[in-house]
Amino acid sequence: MFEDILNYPTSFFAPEITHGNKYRLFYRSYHFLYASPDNNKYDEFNFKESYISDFNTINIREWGTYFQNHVLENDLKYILYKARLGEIDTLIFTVKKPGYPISNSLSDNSILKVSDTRSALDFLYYAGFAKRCEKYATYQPDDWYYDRNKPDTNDPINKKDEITLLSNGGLKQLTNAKSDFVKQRYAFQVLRLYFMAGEYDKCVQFYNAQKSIIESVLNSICYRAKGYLAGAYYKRKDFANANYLYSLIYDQYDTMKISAYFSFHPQEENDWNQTLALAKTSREKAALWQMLGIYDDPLRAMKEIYTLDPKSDLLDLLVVRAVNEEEEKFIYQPGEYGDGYIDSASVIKSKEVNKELVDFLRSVADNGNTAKPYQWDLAAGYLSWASGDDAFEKYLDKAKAEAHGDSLVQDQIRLVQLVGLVNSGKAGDKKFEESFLPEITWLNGNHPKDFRSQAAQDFIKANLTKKYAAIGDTLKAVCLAGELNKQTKGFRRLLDRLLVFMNKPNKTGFEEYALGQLLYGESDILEIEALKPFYNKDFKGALAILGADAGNGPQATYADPFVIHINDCHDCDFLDKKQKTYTKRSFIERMIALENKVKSDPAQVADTYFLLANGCYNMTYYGNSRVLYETKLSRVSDDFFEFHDRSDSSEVDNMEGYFSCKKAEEYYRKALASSKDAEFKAKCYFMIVKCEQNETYNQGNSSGEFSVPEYYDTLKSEYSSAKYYHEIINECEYFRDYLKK
Amino acid sequence: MTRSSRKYSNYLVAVIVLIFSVSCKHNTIKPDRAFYYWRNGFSLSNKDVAYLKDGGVTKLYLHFFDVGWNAEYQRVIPVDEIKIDSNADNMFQYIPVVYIANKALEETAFDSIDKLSRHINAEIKHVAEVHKIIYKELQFDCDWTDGTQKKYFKILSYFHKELKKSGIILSSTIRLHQVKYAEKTGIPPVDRGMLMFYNMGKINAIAGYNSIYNERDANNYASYVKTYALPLDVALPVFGWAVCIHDGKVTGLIEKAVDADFADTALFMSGGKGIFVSRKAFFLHGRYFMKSDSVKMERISPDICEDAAANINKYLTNEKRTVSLFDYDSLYLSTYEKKDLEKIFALSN
Repeated sequence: MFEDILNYPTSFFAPEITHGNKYRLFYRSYHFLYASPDNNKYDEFNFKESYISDFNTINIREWGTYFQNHVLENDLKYILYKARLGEIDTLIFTVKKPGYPISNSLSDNSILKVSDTRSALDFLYYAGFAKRCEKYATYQPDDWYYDRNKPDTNDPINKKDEITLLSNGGLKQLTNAKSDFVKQRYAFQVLRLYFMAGEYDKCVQFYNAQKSIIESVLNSICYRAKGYLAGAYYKRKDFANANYLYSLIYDQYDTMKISAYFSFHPQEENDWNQTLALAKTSREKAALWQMLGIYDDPLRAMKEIYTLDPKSDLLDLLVVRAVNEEEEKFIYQPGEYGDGYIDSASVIKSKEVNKELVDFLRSVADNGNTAKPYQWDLAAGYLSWASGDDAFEKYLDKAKAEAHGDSLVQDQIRLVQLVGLVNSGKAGDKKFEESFLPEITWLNGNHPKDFRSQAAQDFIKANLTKKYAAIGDTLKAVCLAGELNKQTKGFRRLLDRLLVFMNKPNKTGFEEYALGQLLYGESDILEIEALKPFYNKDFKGALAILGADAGNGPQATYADPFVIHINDCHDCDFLDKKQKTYTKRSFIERMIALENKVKSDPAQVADTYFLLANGCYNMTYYGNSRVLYETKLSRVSDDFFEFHDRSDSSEVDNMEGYFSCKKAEEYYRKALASSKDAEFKAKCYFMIVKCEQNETYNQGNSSGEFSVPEYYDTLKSEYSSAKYYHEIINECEYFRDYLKK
Repeated sequence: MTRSSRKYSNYLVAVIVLIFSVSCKHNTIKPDRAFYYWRNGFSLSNKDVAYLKDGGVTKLYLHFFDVGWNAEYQRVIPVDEIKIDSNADNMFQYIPVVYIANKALEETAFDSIDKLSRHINAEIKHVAEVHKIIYKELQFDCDWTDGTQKKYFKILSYFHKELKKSGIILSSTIRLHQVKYAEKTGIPPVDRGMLMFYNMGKINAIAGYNSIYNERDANNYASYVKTYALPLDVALPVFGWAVCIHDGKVTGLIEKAVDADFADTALFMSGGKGIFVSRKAFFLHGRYFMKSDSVKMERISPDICEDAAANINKYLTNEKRTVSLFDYDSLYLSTYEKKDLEKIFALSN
């Protein structure tokens, strides 16, 4: 999903309705190309970086056909791409003279079983020749010039003599070869050698001289040869011829469609007109216009192609591209939202729609003489609607009938009708709400990956939010918007009203839909409301708000909030798997039980107070269970300063209570007063010191330094005989520093 | 920020403010005058030399090469290496500049940065040796991002150490956003920064708006220059370009464009305020214009450059620095007479 979102701009219209898989990569995208079905082969711009393995596979397959599949593909692969020259020579000798000494692995090669030895020899001679050409063909300049001896001795441009010798050899073998298939391949090798040597004039002359051989078989080699010829023209700045050849490759040979497209660069009007003049057939001309349409000008291109051939399949891609490009103008795109998401996302910018385009689509739709009339009707209907023209239904109805078996098209039409219904619908109108319901239920259901339901859902929600807010139906507007903003005036009251709304009996279908968009459930809201009493340490009050079920949510504490240490090491507590964890509810229930125990069990009162104190301490920012502060609208962070910035605070937050250790200190003092055990008292007193120290942070002590020395004085004077006192010295650096002074 | 570094930076600010407050009236030390030479083919005619000498120019920043990513070879390689036609004799001081593309850094693992640095170093030395260029300063240019900052700074650290041995100054270009958000973007580990006092606004379709230099955008940044933690040289713009606009949206830039490029009245009509509107659809210089597309000329005239010089001068301390104009191209400099250069450099005093 995420990839799809990044793949193309916000859109309601799936280009896949054209079913033009061949052109899929040219659908409108944020990137150079639309997401490819096989992402591994493409970089982050969906751009393919190397064709070598494609060519190798195809080459092997073509040789396989040459041998009528009597030679195994793996054997061909070995000879073409792995074997050393010596091994190829050995195979040649073996074919010529069976019994020639040969290794076991090589003797298993099925090329030796070919009965037509002449064909096998032609292949092997050619493989040897290709291998000799390889180092020139695959030449890449060194990374860094400095470690080259000047001039670069490996550059074929500096090896003209060797290349002449080699190409002359190739030409001779070309003459000797029996079939056009093999002759064509020799011609290709020689052509490429000339190209790599920078002999572009020779390239053009050679191609023209060997044209009949090169074009004798319309296979990969033929089009790769055309590619080198185009490159040679390009180097000679003969852009007219180069672009013409690129357009042929683009239109006729799918393997090289993308690279030919990216090589196509008309420079001036003059050479573009020459290119058009070179095109021999309507099809060739139309292919040129299609490329121009993808690059720059779909409307002009469609008009030209339509004039050449109304039934041309080259129109299909341009229609869906034109629609998608137009959407970028009339649908707000991310980045254009500005401050008000709802204000932008709810709007169709009808005035932005290109009227000339709509007129053209409609006139073609009206003519009905294309290969896929539904596509034109759908496009004309959709863009008519977008431009605010009521005549759109007529076209959609026509498209519906024309593509009755095509589910993607039917869905697309239904989606356009739905956004149309919403856009013109009136908030609060029962009839509208009723007709809307089944449609939105359908839209929110499952659809094929290509179908663009998400953007339509977002538009519908934003559009309805705005409309219901405008008629003063705040509750529905808030639900439809999905997110709650706790800074809203009267937020606490709004939460109460939402709770009432949630519990309203006999809700209408539309009310259910609106509630369904809200990202908060009843227990989420109750937890938010309970935050205030909970962090005022009013546990009974908090439980009363939570009611029978809320607070049982998955967010348990990470550690036991009733244990305490000299140092607040939260991670150590989290790692201690033996510690008992609590949900908000079970924590509150234990705190209430402890409060009751104070009265019911006087013998244990010191320990009970101590546990209450630990609970109160650990639920604060400083404790191991600060996560108890989290609700869907309040989060905790390790960053003290971030959370001391209370600008985010609202009427449902309780930042004071979140930081305050006062209640904990009160309980520690009660525990201290209720006990006679010196060790226990030392422990209580040290915790009181910690609470006091934390209070200085709450008051703005940002130095992190110890700042309540008077408490250390007491600790030293009254508790130094306790064993615990020495544990404090061992563990607490502040205290050690204090003692050194 | 730790306490000690905060204390230190407060101290630094105090010192800088002190220096500034006693010196802001007049910057009395004259700057070195320089130009960037950014084209690949370096060749100076006698006329060029006379123009530069006449303007008191002593230094030329030469674009040596880019360090780029070659997708086809899947390698980081030097591209657009300088080709020097005329002898780079000792008429000027030459400062090699190497531009590093972010993509090249993204594609290089952090552990391989030192290896890349060695390559770059050898390459620079090689080019300098071939063309007999002796340099006392070396400059890197990189619009580093959060993701590439550490790698770029590692390269700079490598060169800082390397160059120290031979007493060569290391500098880095500094973009305005890097000055304003210095805490976030970091201060490069170099001897000096070259503040690029241009390209400050968002390129847009608004008629009359100049994204290369305009005072309003400049003032969003200029005050931060005072407190930047590196000694700064300054680069001022003397160039122009054309912004291509389709349906009110920017679709591209044509570098080195001048009005004459759009003078064919069969193709364009004037839309006023430096805007040309296409009369029909056509190809021109490899670019397709649809009917009613427009180009907006943005160009730095001598007046604007003088304004920029006067503006930045308000924020600079009285120290020895270089003021360099970007870039040396007769296409634009034909309107810059000697008196204009004098004024610009004098204002930067």
